[in-house]
Amino acid sequence: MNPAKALGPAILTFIAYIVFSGSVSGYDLITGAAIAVITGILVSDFLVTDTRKSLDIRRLGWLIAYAFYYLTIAELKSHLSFAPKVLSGRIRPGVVEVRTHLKTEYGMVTLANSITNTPGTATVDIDPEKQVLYVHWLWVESEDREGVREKIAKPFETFIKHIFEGGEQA
Amino acid sequence: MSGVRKVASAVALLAIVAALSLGAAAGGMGPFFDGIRSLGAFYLSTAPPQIAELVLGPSYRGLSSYSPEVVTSIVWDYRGLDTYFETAVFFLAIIGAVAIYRGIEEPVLRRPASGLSPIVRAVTKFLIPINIAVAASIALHGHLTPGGGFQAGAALAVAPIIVIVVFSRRYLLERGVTKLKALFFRSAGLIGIALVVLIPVIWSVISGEWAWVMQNQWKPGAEAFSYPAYLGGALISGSIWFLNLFEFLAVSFGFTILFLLISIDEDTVRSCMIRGGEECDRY
Repeated sequence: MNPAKALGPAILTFIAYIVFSGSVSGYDLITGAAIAVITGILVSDFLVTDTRKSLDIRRLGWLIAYAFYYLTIAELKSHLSFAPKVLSGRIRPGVVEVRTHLKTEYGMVTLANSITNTPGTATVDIDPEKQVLYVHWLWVESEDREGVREKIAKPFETFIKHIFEGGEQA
Repeated sequence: MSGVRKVASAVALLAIVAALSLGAAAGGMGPFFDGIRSLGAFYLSTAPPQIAELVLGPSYRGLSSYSPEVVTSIVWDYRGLDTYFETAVFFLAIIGAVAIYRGIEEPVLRRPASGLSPIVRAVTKFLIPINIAVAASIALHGHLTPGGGFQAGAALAVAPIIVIVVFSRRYLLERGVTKLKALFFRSAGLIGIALVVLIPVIWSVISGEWAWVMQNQWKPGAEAFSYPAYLGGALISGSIWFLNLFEFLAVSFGFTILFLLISIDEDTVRSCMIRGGEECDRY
């Protein structure tokens, strides 16, 4: 057991405990901390593979920046572009293969969920070995490999790379 | 089913619902009681500590369980013995399942545990600690807010069943969640409950003063014994806090045992039960 490895999951547990309890009395802080320590130790091997990455404050900064970008700009752009298509009923659907540069499990899953949660695109399946996502697209704009990546994955990939990958120089 | 028949059955169902609602609204279920019945009023006016301390006189304060959550007060204090034996029934059921499945072990397969897609697996990993936090919060606030040990145990039992569905039964076993460990923690929870129930009696034997089985706060006629209502300034409602905690442990691991057992491959179970065989006689 590695205490540093357990720190990330413990903080997540503590936040969940306090938010769910809806109170910050001394009792909640003490019981929350106790539960967080136990849970952190129990799930750290299950959740964390790279301790240094899990405690990197710059990666957390990128995560917050990405959340802000995603929930405001990315969602708005995607809604504006797909709302007219949905309302008019003029769609050109198809499943495309998206090649990604992301390698890690968390990175690829974040990309897959980011694609699914914006209107117009939904990740159907993911192949971690081939680094490929299969995405259902409501309006297939492009069919060549680079065009698809540019349209679907590129806006998210840069952020996700900073959050989960590139451990060497960080 | 043809379209006409579908419409006909929908109309028939709607007619039954409408007739029942009409009957109930017309007073078919007896007169509606508008207000609080005397028994409810008694619990509401004695259980919470604020009322016990400010409103009730010294001679009535001993009727309080010092918990603002009146339902939990009833479940673990006013009718505590009932809950104690309910818990016993639930655990006899689990012991029954363990006895039926005794000696049945799934052969270890050579192929790796795969489970659902990487997306589901990665997201599930993050849900596990959040699940534990929520369940623990329900248990540790059982004396303050709706919930308590049993509900928290059921909430925590979501974690093993999700891991079994999303990953596999073997994945759970490989991470150390085994039947033996679950039995150990379940038994620890049960022993904890029994101890909390019997401590007043043990104390009574030692001190020679009167105390009741499963007594929480001091009672008229048994004033000498009382579980602490506060611990370091925080309200813990005496025995209720401990009972919730141990019930949480016992129920969550009780369910974990059941999930581990019922997720064994059906053919393995059947062949072990009918034919026995070497791989089925581990114990």
